[in-house]
Amino acid sequence: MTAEPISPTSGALRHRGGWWSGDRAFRTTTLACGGLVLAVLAAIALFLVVQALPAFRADSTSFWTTRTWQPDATPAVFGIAAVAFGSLLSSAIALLLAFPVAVGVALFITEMAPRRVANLLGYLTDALAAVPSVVFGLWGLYWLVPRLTPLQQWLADHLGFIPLFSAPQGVPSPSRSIFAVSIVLAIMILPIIAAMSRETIRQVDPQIKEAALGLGATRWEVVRTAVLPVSRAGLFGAVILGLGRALGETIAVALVLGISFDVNAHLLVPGKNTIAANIATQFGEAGSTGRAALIASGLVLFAMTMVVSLLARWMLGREARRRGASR
Amino acid sequence: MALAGAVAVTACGSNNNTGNGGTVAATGSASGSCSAAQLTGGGSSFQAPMEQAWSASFLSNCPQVHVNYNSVGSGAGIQQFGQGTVDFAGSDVTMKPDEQRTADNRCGGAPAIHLPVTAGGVAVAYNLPDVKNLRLTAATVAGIFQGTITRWNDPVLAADNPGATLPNIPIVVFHRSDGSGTTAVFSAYLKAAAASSWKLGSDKTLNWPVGQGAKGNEGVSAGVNQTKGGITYTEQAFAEQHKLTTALIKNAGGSFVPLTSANVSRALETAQLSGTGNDLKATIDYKPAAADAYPISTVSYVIVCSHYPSSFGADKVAALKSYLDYAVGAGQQTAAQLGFAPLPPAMATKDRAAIAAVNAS
Amino acid sequence: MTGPVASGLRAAPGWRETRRRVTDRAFRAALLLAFLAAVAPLLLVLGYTVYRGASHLSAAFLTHSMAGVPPSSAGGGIYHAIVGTVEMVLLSSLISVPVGLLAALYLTEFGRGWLPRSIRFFVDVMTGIPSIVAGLFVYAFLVLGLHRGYSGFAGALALAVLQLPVVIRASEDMLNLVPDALREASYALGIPQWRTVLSVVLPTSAAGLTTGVMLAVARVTGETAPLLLTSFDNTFINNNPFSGPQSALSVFIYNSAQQAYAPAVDRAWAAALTLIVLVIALYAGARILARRSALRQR
Repeated sequence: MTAEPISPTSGALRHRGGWWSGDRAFRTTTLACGGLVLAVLAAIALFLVVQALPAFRADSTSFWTTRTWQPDATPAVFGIAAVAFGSLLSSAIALLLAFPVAVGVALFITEMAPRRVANLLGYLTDALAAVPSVVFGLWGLYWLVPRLTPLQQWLADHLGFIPLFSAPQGVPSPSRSIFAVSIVLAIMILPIIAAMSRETIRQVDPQIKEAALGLGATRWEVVRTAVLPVSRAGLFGAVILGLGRALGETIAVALVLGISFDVNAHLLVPGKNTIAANIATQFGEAGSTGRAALIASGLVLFAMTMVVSLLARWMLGREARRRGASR
Repeated sequence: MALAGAVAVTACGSNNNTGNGGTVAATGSASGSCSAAQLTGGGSSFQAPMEQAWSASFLSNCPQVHVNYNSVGSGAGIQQFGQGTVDFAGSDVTMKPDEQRTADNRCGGAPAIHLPVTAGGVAVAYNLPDVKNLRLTAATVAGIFQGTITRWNDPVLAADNPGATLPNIPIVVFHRSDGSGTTAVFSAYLKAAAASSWKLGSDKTLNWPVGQGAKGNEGVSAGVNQTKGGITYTEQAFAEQHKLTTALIKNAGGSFVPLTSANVSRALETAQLSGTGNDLKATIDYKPAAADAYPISTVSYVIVCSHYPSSFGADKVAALKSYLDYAVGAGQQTAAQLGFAPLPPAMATKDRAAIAAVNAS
Repeated sequence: MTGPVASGLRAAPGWRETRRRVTDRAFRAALLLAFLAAVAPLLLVLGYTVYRGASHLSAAFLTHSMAGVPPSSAGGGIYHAIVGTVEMVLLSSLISVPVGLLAALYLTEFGRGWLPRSIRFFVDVMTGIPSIVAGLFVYAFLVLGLHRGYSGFAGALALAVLQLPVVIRASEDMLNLVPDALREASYALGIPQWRTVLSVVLPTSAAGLTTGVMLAVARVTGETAPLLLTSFDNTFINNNPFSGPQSALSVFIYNSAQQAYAPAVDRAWAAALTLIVLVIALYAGARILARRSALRQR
């Protein structure tokens, strides 16, 4: 390899002059992969839009406000109100439950546990991601829901004045509710968020932490002032991956939830539905309009992920994304 | 390292299950060609256990014919048959006109035909430990599943069940959350037998006013198993597996009939075969009058081309014909033990004639 | 001089100091609780799977297919499903990891402009894709469009579509954690960008990238819906992923668990246990590899 003279320009972050063939090949390859990814994803999006169009034409009522799902009947009556609401509700609760626990686990492993044990603990939390969703669904259905019902009844009895926990007709036994489904979803997305958070927190510059410690900060204060603020980007990425998983989970929700096409905020009683579970349960027997309608609901799911992601990016983008430099 | 592992993994498995649960002796011999072929079929989950049992025992007749049946759902099965990705479809309901057109196209212009291959009944299963032989009429069933009858000690139920102590607990209805041929049959029965009291129509998905949706026969059966006072409609085999009691249903002759394989066959004796030529679409009589006819009975179809284009392959057509001939012939003997019913002999004879007429370019 | 530091220098603890200590203790307790809350479900789910499936595992079970065994009978095995899962996940990772990593490198190394922003946007949207959609896409283009029919390769493509957004998202975040100072130092020495990436950026983020790859693998080993449309299912062993339908552990579990016959359900749980052990073994292997390459650097 020829020795390269150190010149001022070669220290620039972006190579202005002197493109090495290696660099050109690197840029071309990565650009090609990036372009390929974009092409594939855009093709999928286009494919879905084309497949979904017949549904919009066939729908005799408003797609956005109708709750029932009868796309193959004459006339076709279907809408995403119920399923979209259920998707949002179950994913929001799952994220609310999983995020603090996941970050807590990540902090525990990186900050509190002794080094040798930390690896083992990391493996333990990763193992949860090895469990297939159908197993979560079956475990939820047969083991968790019957045991969760007393808790749900207790909540309804004692906190029933809050509309979320009220159960006008009582909590059935067992209760295959959104509450139970959200817990199963939370368990499923926990390893994703925990793994990403762990990597992010592990990469925090130790000098900043030591500086804080040297100033007499307690562990909690170190985390609060030195670790969490700079980890925001990575934690956001973890949340997005977890949210995607929660929104797109089909089998576990389809097996555990007692499905109905209602829109209400009663978390503890069976009922409601999600977009992904609806797709999973209806697809096999759907006719051509039915399939188109299900794909249309999938597009709505994308829109949801898009909105959340854009919102979060906008909030994050207002601060420097990483310590070191802004890009 | 991973590649080495993968290579090692591919080196040590076997398809030979004799002595490991595989059927050693065939239940009868098949006629027809046994040349090597791989057949894929997809569709109804109702007939899936029979298809898989046939594919397993047919191996003893023709070890080179590999039949793979996947229960993707009747709708998907018909779609994939129309697109040519599966060789035959399984369906609980006959094709709609646009589906028929697509299927005929796939067959190169020749009509796609329905062949009834198995039969079964839909059980009304419930969870009341102290009530052994619950008697239900079509009207009561309609009332329960539409939410007009809400408690087990309702006078209407008590009137039909004079000897039983019906508890004063709510009726918890479970219905299918997924599209289902079982729902279609159940609702078709109610539409015919309960007439104006049944307002939800007949389809694979209904707009249920009450009850919880659960996925699959497994889901509804498990739900009823877990819930005291639960009731649902499901396949006989699932009711047995979850140890659910099934109700006696009143038929048009006035008798309350339990669900047994023989009672299903009896009910299907009055089914009419409509459809032109070898297209054997059955019109089920949901109001059979015979004393031991179980009214919620149905057949399930296999959809094939009456004439396959040459690209399909003559070997495959021959293998398909042997397989189906076996299925509607000797294969019917395993129906009862799996929770199905054998086809009425007259129907089976017509089936074999239609199968024999299938050919290729 | 007032404030927490000043009060820390005094001998007798004031109320502020006590409050800080209490908060810290509460924090540590909360972390421990979080950890237990994470481990408990794992033990419960694994325990239940072992309880339902362990007694049905055997050497015969792992080395035979379901050929000739009807679902209502005991016997048979999952060898055909193991082969299918291993081959499909391997193929899909071989496709999605290099492409995804290179795409992530494009985003981090050349990150400004409309193209990177569009890629990031689509990747974020696609993290929420219901898995059946990926299957539909590959079915329409490969199985149907190109008349290739069902195959393990089609299944692998569908899985790769699901893995790509995860790989890109995770890798981009991990690559972004590498401090620019390291890159600048490398450039200051005259090392070209591609060499910097190879010798500085990638090894530094190796542990994180491995985690991302593992998340992507975990994402797909349990997928059923896309495989039903692409690799279909097979009761026989098919060692060739490029031709003919192939079974997979996830499809096997899904189909068997919902059958009416107890032997089928038992097989489903035994297969579930096998799948979990398989994935954990993959994890262990990946982590060992990553640790070894990181040790060489540190």
